[in-house]
Amino acid sequence: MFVSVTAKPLTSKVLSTILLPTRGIANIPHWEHHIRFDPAHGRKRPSQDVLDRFKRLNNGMWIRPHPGRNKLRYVKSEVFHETADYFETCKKEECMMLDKLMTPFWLRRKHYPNDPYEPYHTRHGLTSPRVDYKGRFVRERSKVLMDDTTAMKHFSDLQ
Amino acid sequence: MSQKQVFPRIRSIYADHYVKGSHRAKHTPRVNRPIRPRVIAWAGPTAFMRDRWYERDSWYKARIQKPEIVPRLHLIDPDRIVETFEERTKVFKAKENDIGFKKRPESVTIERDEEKLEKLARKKQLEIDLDLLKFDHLKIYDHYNIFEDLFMPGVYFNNTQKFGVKYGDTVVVKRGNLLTAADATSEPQIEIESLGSNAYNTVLMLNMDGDGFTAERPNDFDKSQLLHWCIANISDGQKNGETIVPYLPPTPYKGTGYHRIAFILFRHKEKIDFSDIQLKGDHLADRVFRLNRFFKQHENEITPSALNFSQIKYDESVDKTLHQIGMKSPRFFYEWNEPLKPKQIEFPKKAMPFNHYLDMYRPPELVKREMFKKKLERLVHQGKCEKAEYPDIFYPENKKKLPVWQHKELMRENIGSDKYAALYLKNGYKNAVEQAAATEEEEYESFKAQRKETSV
Repeated sequence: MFVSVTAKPLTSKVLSTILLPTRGIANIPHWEHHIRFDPAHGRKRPSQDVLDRFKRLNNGMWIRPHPGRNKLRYVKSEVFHETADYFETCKKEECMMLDKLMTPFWLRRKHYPNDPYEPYHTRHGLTSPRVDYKGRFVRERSKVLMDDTTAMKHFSDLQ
Repeated sequence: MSQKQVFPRIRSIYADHYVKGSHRAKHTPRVNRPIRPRVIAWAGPTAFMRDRWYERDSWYKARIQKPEIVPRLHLIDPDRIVETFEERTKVFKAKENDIGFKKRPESVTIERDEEKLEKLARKKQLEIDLDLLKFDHLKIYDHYNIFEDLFMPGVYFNNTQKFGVKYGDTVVVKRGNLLTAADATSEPQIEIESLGSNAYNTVLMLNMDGDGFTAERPNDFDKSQLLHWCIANISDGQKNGETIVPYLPPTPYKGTGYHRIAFILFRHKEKIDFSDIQLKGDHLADRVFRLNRFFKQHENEITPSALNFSQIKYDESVDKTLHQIGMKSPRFFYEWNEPLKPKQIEFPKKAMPFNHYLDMYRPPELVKREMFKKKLERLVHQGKCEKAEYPDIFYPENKKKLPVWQHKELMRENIGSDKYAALYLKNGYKNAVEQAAATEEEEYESFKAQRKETSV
């Protein structure tokens, strides 16, 4: 459970032991949640907290429930009861960060039978540019280089 | 000899700190050029200044002056408003052609005590009998656009003859008053002022907004109306005349709002043969009439002398009238504009409820297709697609199992609100509003029938 570590303080010459909890897959400090090399296979691991709390739609949007929606509901107003139950969209930076925390498997398109999120996997009416400030594709993989008409046919996210 | 320029040297703040072994400079070097300003050309003077309240951009470590974003508000600039409210809302119809009679000069011969009247007026006890007043302004006709819609722009006439139209004892047609269609189911009584000369009067009853059978024409002078009643050649002083067109109660359709029903009185010296106005059939479309053409035809003989009108809305009696002719009573529904939506952002800056946001921008054809698909699935798997009795019969289980947004969608589907109304739309109905109204009527009727049975 705990691992003892000897630490040498700067001021005195006396060594003291500091107890640190064992570092397992479920016990990583939160600033190290983005595991780049896992000890088992040496591959990147997705952040389990992110998978528990957020849902990714096929078009790149991450959805999260409202934080604190079940806390002290009895003191909150009717408006709060309604709005706190919404599943909200994440901002661009948040979506980018959550994508970075994931492995490529979790960024693939998923299709389930009788999926309640099915109509929300495609966006309609977006006119934002297809490339970002560095010339990289925003909604497609950069390896797939195709012209507009072919992309519209196969990448139905654009609609 | 040129003077040697001496530039001030700055002493370092660490000059007096002694650190063994360091060869730190105590002053800036002696050079014959000034110190270059500590400014970075591409960043402003406030760059790298420590400030806790700036917004850090991602790959800059410096503070950047961002432009102030002013929200797009609807601003009312009072300098741009020049006209007064009255001027802006004034309805002015040009009065070029007087097609009626000249107004008779009013000669008042009432004895009155000026002093007594003045006293009463000061004490605010002076009462005026409105029924004795003559209402002769043409503004009300301008407001309702009567002359333009009956004849042509620029045409007008004054009321030169007293013309009373009464339904029963109390309901009188004046100048734009509201009547119910039920009041007007039977013929009105007409009172025409006798002017003493040997002339004839003709009365026409027109529904100015009733014609739904002719396409809209681009011109202003050929507007069409429905002719509900025509009594011609009433001799001066008499009450009876020739009924050219039999009386039909007004038929404003449901959902079309108020229709203007006008009674026009024409005066002519000799009897005129109006057989060309006679109806060719029983249908409402046979009553389509063009007053401007009719007037032009008999321009030399007839002159309009009075005009009364009222506004009538749909009533159940309209249904009966139309059924009697052999017509079905149509239902009109207002087509609302699509709601204004803000421009869609791929990743909204403010957290939006994802299902509402994405549903707002889905094209309606796709929504229809999805609903149709759902309906077919239900018909195939369950054999029927009927509205559930309760919004959610498994409410406690679903509340725990499903996310809130999905549970709410399920309840909306079971109730049949908004887009889900298409699931429960039966054949023969245009839209859900009509079906709901029809089912309500049926239920009410069955309820009444039940009550009758039980009451006996």
